[in-house]
Amino acid sequence: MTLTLLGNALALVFDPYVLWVIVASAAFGLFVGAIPGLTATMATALLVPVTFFMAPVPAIASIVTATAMAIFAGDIPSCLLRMPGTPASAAYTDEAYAMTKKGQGEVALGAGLVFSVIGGLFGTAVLIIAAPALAEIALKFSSFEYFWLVILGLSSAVFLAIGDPLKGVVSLLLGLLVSAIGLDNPAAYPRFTFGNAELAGGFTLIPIMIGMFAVSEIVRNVANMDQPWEMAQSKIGNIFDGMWTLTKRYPIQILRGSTLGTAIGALPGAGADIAAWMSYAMSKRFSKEPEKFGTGHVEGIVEAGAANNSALAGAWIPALVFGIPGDSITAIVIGVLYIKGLNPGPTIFMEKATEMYAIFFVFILANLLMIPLGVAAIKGAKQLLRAPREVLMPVILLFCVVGSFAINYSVW
Amino acid sequence: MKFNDALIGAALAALGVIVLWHIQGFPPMTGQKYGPAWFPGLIAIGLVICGSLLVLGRLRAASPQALAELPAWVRRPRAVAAVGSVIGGLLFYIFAADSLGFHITACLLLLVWSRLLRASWLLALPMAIGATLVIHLSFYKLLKVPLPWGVFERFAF
Repeated sequence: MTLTLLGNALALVFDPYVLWVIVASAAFGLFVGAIPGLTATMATALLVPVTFFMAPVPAIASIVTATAMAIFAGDIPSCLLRMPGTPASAAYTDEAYAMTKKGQGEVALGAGLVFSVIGGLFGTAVLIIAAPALAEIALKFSSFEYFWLVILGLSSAVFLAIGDPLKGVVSLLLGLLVSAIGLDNPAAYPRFTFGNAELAGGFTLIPIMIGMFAVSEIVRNVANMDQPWEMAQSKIGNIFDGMWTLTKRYPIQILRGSTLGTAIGALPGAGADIAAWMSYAMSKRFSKEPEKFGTGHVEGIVEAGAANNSALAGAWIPALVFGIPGDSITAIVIGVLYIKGLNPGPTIFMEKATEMYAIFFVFILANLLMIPLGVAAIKGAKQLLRAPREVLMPVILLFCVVGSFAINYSVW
Repeated sequence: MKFNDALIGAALAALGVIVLWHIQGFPPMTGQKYGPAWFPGLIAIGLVICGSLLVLGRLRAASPQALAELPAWVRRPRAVAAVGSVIGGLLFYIFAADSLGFHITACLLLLVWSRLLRASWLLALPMAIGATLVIHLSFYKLLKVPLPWGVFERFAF
């Protein structure tokens, strides 16, 4: 029974079309992650309209692969430009740049790649073990437990607003108010539609997400495009040199970073960026040589680099089992899961077991694929970072427009 | 742009009151305790409470806060034009795409946007046409999304 299940899942993943989707999304993720200002969340938002037309497994696979690659690729401009490619690399950007300045750019890039892979695989292992086990418990839930679970999920919006919880509550209320618009209530009474037929259908999730996560970042980018980028190092040697030594020297740090990252990822609200900040701080706190932190010391990069990639997989645990997002990426993913008929919830591992195991395989595959593609991205970093932003941003913006249109064929 | 918390708070509370007033007209559901007005009502009460708390918090705070704070990029005309063109361009697409057609609108927008971001004509022009073509091929041809043809209806391919 289990063996046929695994076999079917493998067959789903090792389909030429799915593999092609994985490689293409990997390249896309590396590109988006490596360009400062474009984040993994944005990569997900941009993928959604494309995945809309795919079968469930390739759709989810493309998001899993692209985000894993993007979080790693964020380390590349950290080392070379002192600009985090994604917020998840911000915690150790100064450290990585200091290493490059000291002539240790290869070590910093290599550590970013190797320990991203290890962290990602660790998080995946926890996801594979914990999610079905948790689902088993959640199967005993009745309406009361679900009610409180939904409350917990909604309250995670409050934790996301780190600065001021009150403003988090305000955003939550405004979101709920928007969702109340339209006919979609038990009485089927048109609420807040002002007689408008388009409003009666309510707001569609995907255009909202594209607007919130992608267009907002484009606006931020075009507002600050005056400064040119300067690379600290253009020739990059063998990045795997000394990685084994690092693994032997910092085994506890790797384990600690991966564990903390997975846990933070699994907590509703907090994602890869917070995981990286916390584990960088933890690494410094428990280090034998804390005075070296900030001067170009690899220890923090090892630990935080593992943490942000493991957080990515960790975030899927509550997303799959309860439909509660572990981070902003899985917040989008949950929408995609519903569209694809893979409604998250404890029964997903019974009703859609093959698809779930296929997604787990994709996680493993994506993290392994990170090694060859990551090397290629690092080698090509010079060209990658020279991508002309002045035409890139307009093209992405047009893509946002068409992507939103593609969901319900209307500009409204 | 960063507004004073008190201003935002007042606006939120006002929104809450408006919603509360608006939902008075919602009909109750026969035989049910909770009608369509119940949940928006809850949200509105929450908005009023949070808005008031924001105002109170601002009034009690020792340090003054400007009514509205402008971000640094507002002082750079080029950046203002770029940000304005993003919003204006999106509005333009919404109103013009159906009559003008996707292809013309998209090319025009791409040109304006990239020129405002200081791309040379040599880069902007081929990119505008190329990107429009790629989107046409991938979305219109491959994914069968009915992008409007507008004035080009006769030449549809």
